[in-house]
Amino acid sequence: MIEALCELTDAVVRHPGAARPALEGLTLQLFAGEFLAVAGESGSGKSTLVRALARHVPLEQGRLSVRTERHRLQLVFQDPYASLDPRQRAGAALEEVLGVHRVARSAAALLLEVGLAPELAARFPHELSGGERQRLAIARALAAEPQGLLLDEPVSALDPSHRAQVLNLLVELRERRGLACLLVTHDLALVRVLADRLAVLEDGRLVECGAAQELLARPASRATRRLVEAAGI
Amino acid sequence: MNALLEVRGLSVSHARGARRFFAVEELDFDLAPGEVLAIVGESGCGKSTLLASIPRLFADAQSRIDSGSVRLAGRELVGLSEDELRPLRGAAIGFVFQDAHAALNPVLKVGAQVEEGLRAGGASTLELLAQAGLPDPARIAASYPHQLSGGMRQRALVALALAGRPQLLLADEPTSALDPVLGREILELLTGACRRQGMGLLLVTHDIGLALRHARRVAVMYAGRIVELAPAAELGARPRHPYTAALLAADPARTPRGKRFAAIPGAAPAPLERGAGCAFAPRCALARERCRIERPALVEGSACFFPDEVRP
Repeated sequence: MIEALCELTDAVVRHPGAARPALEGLTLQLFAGEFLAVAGESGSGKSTLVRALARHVPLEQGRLSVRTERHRLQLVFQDPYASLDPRQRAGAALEEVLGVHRVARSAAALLLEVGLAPELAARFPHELSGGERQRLAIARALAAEPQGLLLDEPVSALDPSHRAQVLNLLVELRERRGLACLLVTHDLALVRVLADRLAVLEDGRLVECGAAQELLARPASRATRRLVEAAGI
Repeated sequence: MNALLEVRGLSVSHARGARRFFAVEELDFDLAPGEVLAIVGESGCGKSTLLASIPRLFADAQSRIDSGSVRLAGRELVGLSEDELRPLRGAAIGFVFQDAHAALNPVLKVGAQVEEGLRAGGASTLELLAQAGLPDPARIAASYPHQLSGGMRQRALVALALAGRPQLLLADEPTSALDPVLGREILELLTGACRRQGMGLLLVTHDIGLALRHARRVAVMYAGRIVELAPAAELGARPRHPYTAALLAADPARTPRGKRFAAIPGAAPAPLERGAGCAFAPRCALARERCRIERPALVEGSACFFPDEVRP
């Protein structure tokens, strides 16, 4: 059996003051090396799911089991500034994480790995383009030598060309490092190209989960059908 | 049919320190009543500047129209004073922007804001809110913007934009912050209003797939200029500019499963670094000597010397 890197079981998450839970009895695994896409309309609980997997939000009920060291799952957000300190140069941002995890690699090697010139190490985040900044955020996640990346809409703020570059980078990282990727997106066109499995959320519940191709070709739920229609695929 | 909007030779510049640079240059296009024209391009191509220049609502007070003409229903807007333009904004010219938060007044109830823009003889506030797909319009009208979900706020913004029964609606990335299901509903609301009221819509987006689905014609902008302008169906099937072809290839919906996404090599030139030739030449596989020294004009919908060599 393939190893699950992490597994949520019957998870309930409620944001402070909210009447309804953001996740309601959700069960989902992320397997080693797989590309899992999580889709759903706004407010369906996608981002909460990622935060629950990363232990950024507590579970009210249910269980999270992570069969790897905690730092082996790294988060990448839509806004690279969520993980980058605007006053820290790119090189220093990477060295900090390499140091914490005692990883014997250089910042320059990480920059190269994500397709950035090593000279960019001297730049501050605001001196990078949007695409470069997101690559830096990914490099920072890689500095912890993760087994999986949890990516919350990492390309939805990027221009088409930068978007293509960052997505291709994810494909390469998966091939090179055997990384598992959990990609939260509402763009099913990306799912069709990239994902092994697709999980569709609606109102905090998992409505469908299975082979991405199968779900896109024959959506069984209204939520998936609406997303497929809107994606123009 | 007479054009609702006629733009001729429009050039707009921004200031950076003591220097000025053109954000849009020598734009020519028309918009017919009831027509949806999408303006497509990447960040920095000038599409938002174009939109802002029509009602002259620039983000930076130093930005200015340097030359050209913008006629709305035959009336020249360039050269109008601020006092002459103000009554047109929100009335003959409506707006929908990406950020509903910024566009709605946070301390005024939604109903009051729509009420303010109403034109005599048009739909009522509650009718407009209902048309915008808001259930229980009376409750929405009595709510403050922060009491609504993101989707409801964007719908309220549509109601607000349509309240003045504009002849021309300017929409700048109206759905790019929304999920695609809601985004499609909002666009259908806007294009529906065009059909019903004969309103013209300029739809600025970076998403060429969305432009092809919702617009009758598409203008592709690159480095401040329109490089291709054609009916959506033609442009999608037979692009006649290499940049259009590159944008189409980068559309995830056109990428086969398991294949790499097509990125466009290089980056667009910064406004102060644009040379004499075609601005796309450094990134273009078709470029040759002529492209580097001479700038192609927009002829028969394409600003490329070799439109017949472009492959989709």
